[in-house]
Amino acid sequence: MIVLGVVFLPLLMVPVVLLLRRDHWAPAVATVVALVATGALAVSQVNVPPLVVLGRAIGFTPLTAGAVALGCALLAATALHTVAMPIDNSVHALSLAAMAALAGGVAIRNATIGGLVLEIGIFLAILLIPLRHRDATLDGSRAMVIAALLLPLILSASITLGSGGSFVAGEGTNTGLLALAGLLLLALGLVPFHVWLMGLFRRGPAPSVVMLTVVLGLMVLTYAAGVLQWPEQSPSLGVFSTVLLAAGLGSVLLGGMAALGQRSLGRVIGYAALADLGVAFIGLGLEGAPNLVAAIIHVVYRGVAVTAAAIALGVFRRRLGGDDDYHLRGALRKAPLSVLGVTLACLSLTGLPLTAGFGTRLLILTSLARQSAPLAVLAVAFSLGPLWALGRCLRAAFSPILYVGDRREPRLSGVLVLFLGALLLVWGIVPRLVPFLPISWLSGQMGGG
Amino acid sequence: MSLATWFWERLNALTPAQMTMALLVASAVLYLVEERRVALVALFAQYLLVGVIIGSYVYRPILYLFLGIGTAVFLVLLLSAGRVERIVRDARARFAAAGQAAPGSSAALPSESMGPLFNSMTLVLAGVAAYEIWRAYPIAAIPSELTLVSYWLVCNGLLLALISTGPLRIGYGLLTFLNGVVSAFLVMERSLLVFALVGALYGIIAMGIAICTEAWLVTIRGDTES
Repeated sequence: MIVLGVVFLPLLMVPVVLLLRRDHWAPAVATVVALVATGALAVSQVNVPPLVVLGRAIGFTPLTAGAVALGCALLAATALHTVAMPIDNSVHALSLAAMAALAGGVAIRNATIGGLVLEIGIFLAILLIPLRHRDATLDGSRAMVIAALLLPLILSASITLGSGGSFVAGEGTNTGLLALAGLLLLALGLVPFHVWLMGLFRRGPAPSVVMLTVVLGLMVLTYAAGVLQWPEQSPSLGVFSTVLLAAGLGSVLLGGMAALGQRSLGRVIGYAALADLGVAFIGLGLEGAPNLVAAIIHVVYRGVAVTAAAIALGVFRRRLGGDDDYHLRGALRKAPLSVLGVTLACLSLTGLPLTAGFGTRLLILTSLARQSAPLAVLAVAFSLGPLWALGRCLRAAFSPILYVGDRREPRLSGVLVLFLGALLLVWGIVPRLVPFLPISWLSGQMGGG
Repeated sequence: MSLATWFWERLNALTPAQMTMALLVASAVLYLVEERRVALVALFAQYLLVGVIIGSYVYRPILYLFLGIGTAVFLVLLLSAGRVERIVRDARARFAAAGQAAPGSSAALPSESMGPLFNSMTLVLAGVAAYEIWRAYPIAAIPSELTLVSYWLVCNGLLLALISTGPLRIGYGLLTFLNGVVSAFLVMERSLLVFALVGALYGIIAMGIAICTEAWLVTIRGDTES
């Protein structure tokens, strides 16, 4: 029965958070407690025999429990940040409800039922968009159209791959694989190239950014992994792999190019996150278990980096008045912890050596080079785009301008950003310390263990 | 005989061709009528007609629940539609009284659609697309006429959502699209649990449309009152 707590605990906290919403920090603390407990419950249920409710099995595998725990941990970090920098508390209630549905979606073993619950979670998460800003209502409506497009993809993938045949007369399992590929590309924002997520990076509060650009993608990826039985089985998936590979390359190229001209750190991080996700998709598209594992770990590193960046962006906007290179001048003196933390996070996001993002990126691009050297060279060359734009922002932030004001960064937020950034650095230097890395894989690929 | 039973029997007596025509008219009203409450009635009619069409393939309780969901969605959105009409009308009256619209007034007094001619062409495009997809990808598990209806609603709703510029009308498109997906899916997966989840999904979407519309109205009032 404990497995049901993963879904019902956050749901039960929703009315509590709504009741407390006029309070300054109580809703954020209640959210943190609920999320931490939910993550811990999910991890405690790994390999426990599934519970059967209404004829459907509900249970967690190491992958699904890890995804839920990570999602909860990252959301808890952003909720903790809002203790120092309060936001509209209904964001917390909606985040909890969405997390409950997303966790339920990956825990239910029946792909169709799980997919429907996942779709409910996606819609709840998307309601965070109109909450962030009144002018974002049309963005919210359009994001709802994208979420609606996911429904037929989820259903066709689950029906086709679940039964082993297509529901379209005369078609093979390719329909289901294409639907699953479409689901991944749309839900993770690769199609249409982060357009509906870029507004969040520019103006969204940290919990909304993390929910929509990290947790939602993580859960959809976990759902797809469950349908395809990744990474235990890694069969040749033909058209599915080709679509993911092409989309990944396209995102690396477009994200790299688009980041080049940006002068706001939020936009730079948005495009860098798109390009980084592209690398993970290249890994998913290249067949073979090592590439799959590398891609999944890369998504985890990306999630941590984006969370640190989202919290830091919130600090910069509130304390410095903006996140473009003009407002960032001398930011190191005004918000030293956030600047240092976001620097480490962004370096990992852009794949610089010694950071966590480098190791997995190197593995994936090396595998790509074995298949097509020109494409690998192109991907590496375009990876310099976000790095260049980031360098411009950081040069402004580290410029030695004397600051005499009293609008310093909130310590709690700064410490959180620095902790997440430092984590990426430590994981990059000592991969053995990454708790979720399979040791056998680590020994074979990174020389660790 | 109650009025509801009489009405239901009348609906059931319609031939498939008449039913398709009725759905076509309801969709055309959604596209061509600017008045949001009238368009909402057309959306409700769509729920009724889809209910009748899938009625012979699903358990009767599921059918009634589907119509119940349609009624709930209609009532929630009716409130939003009424508020949009009233606020937009007031704003227009204020501008008319002022004699001339303020700069940027086109944003302050938005039209949610692109005009009847453009919408008519889009409706034709949706019809052609639905027919071609129906011919190319017949769904094995459901009857041919229901496949056509599903594709028609999917294409219709998607195009309506894409060409609309206001949250309420985008929402109408979204719900039409979902009606198309759900009408096919409910015939393939007839479990009550599936249906309960679909019902929850409709509820969340209706709530989302209402939230977006309310926030949009705040921006309209802010613009026109400034």
